Amino acid sequence: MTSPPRAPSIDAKIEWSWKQLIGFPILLAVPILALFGVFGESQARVHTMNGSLAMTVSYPSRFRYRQVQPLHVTVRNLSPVVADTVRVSFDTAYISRFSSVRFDPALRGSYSVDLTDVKPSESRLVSVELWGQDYGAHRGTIIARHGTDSVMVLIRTFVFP
Amino acid sequence: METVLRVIFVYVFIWACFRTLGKRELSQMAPFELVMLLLIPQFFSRALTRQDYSMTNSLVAATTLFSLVFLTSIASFRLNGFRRVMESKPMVLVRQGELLPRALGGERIAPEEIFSAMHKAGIETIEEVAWAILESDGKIAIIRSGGGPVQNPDSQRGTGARQ
Repeated sequence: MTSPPRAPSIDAKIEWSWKQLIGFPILLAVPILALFGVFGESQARVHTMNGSLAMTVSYPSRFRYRQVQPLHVTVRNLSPVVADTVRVSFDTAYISRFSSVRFDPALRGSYSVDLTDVKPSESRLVSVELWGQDYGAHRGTIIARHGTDSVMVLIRTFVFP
Repeated sequence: METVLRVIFVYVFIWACFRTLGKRELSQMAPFELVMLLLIPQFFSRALTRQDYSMTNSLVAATTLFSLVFLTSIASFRLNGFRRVMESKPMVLVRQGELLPRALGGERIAPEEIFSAMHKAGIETIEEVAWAILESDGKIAIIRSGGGPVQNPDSQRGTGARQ
């Protein structure tokens, strides 16, 4: 004999147990969903306008625990006159769910930023950096006010554990 | 998404490294088991110590690896061609009492290691060995001439014996 005996060939049919039939699709679903970005970062954008103000908010709709994501608020003066002060206020309940939050321009009061001397058709940007601290769904509002005009946007961010 | 792609890349890369090194380095483990055991602690330590501290990232990484291991085992069982690519073939080291130097050199197995495996199998001389085979899991299997019984089979790490 020049070689040891080989293993016989069999019909390679896989027998699945009920545990595998349940468990394997679940196991496989996680990386497939991750490939489609379900567990990753995602940004959303909302736009609203009312009277003399228009506001566009770009915010993280999903991100992960202890990751940093930006939130941008763009306020535009639609009136033909200079807006002396436009106050942009952020919901305390929303912002307090994040840590190391940084505002640019700096905060004026309790989570509010004042934009002064906004010329007609001029857009101003408020940038916020959010660091995911509490996981779960966080909801809040962003309001821009000028005189009697105000615009409000509802935002929702989910932080993965 | 990036985590899934990284896991696939690392899995294939480590598999290729072990296939290049050969069976000897695998010792008692199947290649997939070894890759899994090497990678799982890395994912969780990264989640604790590096930029992405999230459990989500660790979960995605671990499930990707488990899925790859499971899919590889299915493909390896169902497809002969895939199995030939993924797993190394057993190598005959001793044929009818004769050491095969080319096979020993190819797998970097010293004759002393053959004798050690023989002794653990209760065989004293090389003439009593019909076959010594380096199996794909890295163990040396010893088959006695004439189909006689083998003593103390598979007693130590890295060696095995068949009756």
